[in-house]
Amino acid sequence: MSRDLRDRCERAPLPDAEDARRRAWSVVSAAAPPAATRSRMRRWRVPVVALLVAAGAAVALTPPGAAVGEWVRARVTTPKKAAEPAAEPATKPATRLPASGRLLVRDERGIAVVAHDRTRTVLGRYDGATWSPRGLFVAAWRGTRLSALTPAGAVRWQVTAPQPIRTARWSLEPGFRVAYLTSGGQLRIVNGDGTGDRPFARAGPAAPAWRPRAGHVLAYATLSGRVEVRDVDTGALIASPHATVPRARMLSWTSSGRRLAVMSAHEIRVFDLHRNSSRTIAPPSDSGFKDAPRARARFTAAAFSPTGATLAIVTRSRGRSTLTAGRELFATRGRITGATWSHDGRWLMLDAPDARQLIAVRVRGAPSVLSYPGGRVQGWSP
Amino acid sequence: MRDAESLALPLPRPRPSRRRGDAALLRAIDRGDEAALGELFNRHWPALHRAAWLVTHDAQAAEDIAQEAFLAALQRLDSFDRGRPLAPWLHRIVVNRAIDFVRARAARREVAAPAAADAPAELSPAFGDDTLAALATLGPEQRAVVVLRHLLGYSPGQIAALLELPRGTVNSRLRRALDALAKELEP
Repeated sequence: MSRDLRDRCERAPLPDAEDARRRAWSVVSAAAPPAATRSRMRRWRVPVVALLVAAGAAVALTPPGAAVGEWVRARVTTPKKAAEPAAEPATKPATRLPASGRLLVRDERGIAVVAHDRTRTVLGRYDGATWSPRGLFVAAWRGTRLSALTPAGAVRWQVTAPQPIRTARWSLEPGFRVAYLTSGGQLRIVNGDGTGDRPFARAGPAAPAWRPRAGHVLAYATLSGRVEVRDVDTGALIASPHATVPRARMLSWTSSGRRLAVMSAHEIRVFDLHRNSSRTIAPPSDSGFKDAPRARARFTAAAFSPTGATLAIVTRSRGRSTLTAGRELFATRGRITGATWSHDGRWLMLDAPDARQLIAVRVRGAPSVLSYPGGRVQGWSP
Repeated sequence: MRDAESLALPLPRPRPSRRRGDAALLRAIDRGDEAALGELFNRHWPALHRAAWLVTHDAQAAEDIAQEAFLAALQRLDSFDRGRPLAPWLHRIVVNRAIDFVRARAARREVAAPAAADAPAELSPAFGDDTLAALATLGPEQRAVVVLRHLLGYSPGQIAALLELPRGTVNSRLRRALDALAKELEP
């Protein structure tokens, strides 16, 4: 039996094995070496790290560095002091963020950048903000104005939309673009240097999502609930699955750019663009009985992890919010309105507006939950 | 529909030269050697992917779990004792994640939508192979010990250490699993 079983396990058909290997390698080769190198550097604890970081920051913040790094240039405003938004003096609370990177947080005072040591820099009174992919810049909006800022608050460019701006997302690949959505349902694109502002499509209220590893390809949900994936430079339709997700609230890609999760209050549909198929996740039923009336559970947040495809899901049912990411990680009576992954995929930061707190939950390893003063997380930079 | 993965790097080819140990490959990866990363990936991916598949019986999940396990291991190399073999560490990560996935799937209701008419036919594992069908009758914990024992070749004592279980628990899970499989697979 033993040898026979080994043969059987080794020979059992594994669907799509070679393609899976190819896809996995594409992700691993892109993601692993820098992480491994960083780990090793941390282990040695050499001051070179600090020097490299300082040098990198210096390059990034100089005009050539900024231009080359993320194609941002000062078009509307040269960074004169008078034009910069008021920056509050930084304060230093007691504890640190649980993972590396900086948080972009919105609270009643506006948008602030929270550093790893929780030093807080207020960028100004904006309605919302999003990081550029490497965290070198912030796109922030207020009313009809979209601004590109440095994390210190210096305005690099601004554009004015025809209607108030609802949300924006900075593309992931070089030659950057910013997609932003107006309250009138107009999805617009502007180049990463502030040029070429143009209408692109009509879209529903969910923030669009840039497809990883695919150039300037954007997914968005239309007002009718269809999901479209288009190249914003050519307008070419890459994919438009048959299934619809009415009243979609969130879109999130896997790191390989293969699968797209689209969340509404009552379903999460995960589209597989390679197989042209989809899978639906329904909120868990409370009763446990098959024929019981459907519980009024709903989804309030969903996001794929940045290192792979673990889908973090927050459900709200009978006055209780529950976070799962592979397994149940955290539950609370208060509302949880957002879940943001750290870039190492080890932590999730949850928005808990009822408690006026941010809650960090460790996803890997021993359970750990930390809390921080309130606000809503807009992004967690590398 | 365009295939985004056509943008991916070419797969690493197995090196015909002398075989380096995992420790040597990790040192090379520390130095930023992508060939070493490819060699390590080629060496461990098939077992990780197959183990995840046999525990989850879900092709998408197996790919994701194996990929995440590999990445997670690389990102935690600073906490890994380089004097120990790498494979058991990777196998532990992938099997634990696969078990977590199956438990979570059972806890929430998931429905696979039918593929579009032009989509390639997907293999139906539960009905396409008697081994998979037999394994599907087991719980995820039993599948995991079968995979660790019979695919990856660990002893019950090693499995107990990997899964942080008492050895008696591993033995009883194995015995029950093998009894059930024998019943399912008998001609």
